[in-house]
Amino acid sequence: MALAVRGAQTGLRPATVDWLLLTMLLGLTFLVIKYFEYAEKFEHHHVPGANFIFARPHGPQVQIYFSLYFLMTGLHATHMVIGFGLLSVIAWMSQKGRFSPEWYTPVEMSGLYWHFVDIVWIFLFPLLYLVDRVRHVG
Amino acid sequence: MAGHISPKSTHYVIFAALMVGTAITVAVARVNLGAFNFPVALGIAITKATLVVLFFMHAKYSSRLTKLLVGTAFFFLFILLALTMTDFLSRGMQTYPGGSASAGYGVRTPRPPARAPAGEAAPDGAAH
Repeated sequence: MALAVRGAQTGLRPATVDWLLLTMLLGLTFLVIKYFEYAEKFEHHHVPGANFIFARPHGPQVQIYFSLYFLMTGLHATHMVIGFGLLSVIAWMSQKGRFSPEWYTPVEMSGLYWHFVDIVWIFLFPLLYLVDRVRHVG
Repeated sequence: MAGHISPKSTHYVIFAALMVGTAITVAVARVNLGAFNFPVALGIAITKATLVVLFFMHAKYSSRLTKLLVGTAFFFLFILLALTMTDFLSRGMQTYPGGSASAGYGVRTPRPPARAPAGEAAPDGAAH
């Protein structure tokens, strides 16, 4: 994404479009991985609600965790779907030659949005998946 | 619109640093640092976020006004999170005498035996 902005700044239209498409491809990969993760949760009855089943101790606490997990990853995925739409438009406009080194504001703005979503995941990934893992899994 | 243009090499170096940060996060999660598990994970995350804000979001090359705005946003975010944490810290305070000692930890470990109020022989936990 950052390199797509650079492409727009320097007037390299093909590079801008290519980097945007790569960004979208990686975003899509993330969403596909999330789909498999969610499917697995449903299969194991780890979705909070009436059908929640957790055989090991601390079931209610684990259910709270999964509520937060689905809320936070779900909101993040929503952000990414919005970002995907945004980048599609920007890539289209870029291909049409709508941006120049004098005016590339939409590319820059989309970059800021995408990087904000990026920062969210920088915090969510360790907090939801990794932290204190060693104490429980080893 | 004229912004600072970073050389490609800067982008690649920052990207590499972020990937290394992710690798360290994953690696360090396999080592039990006790009470430092959370601070270390958050420290790496904050470092990575700072890199993204400074270089990928161009904050480093922005005007002072923009920098002030970025700082203000994070300041208010910090207040938001800190006030949320006060709820976590004070959860057990009013449940029974001495309850604050076990706030947030009752989930994992058995409660330390609480002093029963005078004249009551209620067993631990019966006050809930």
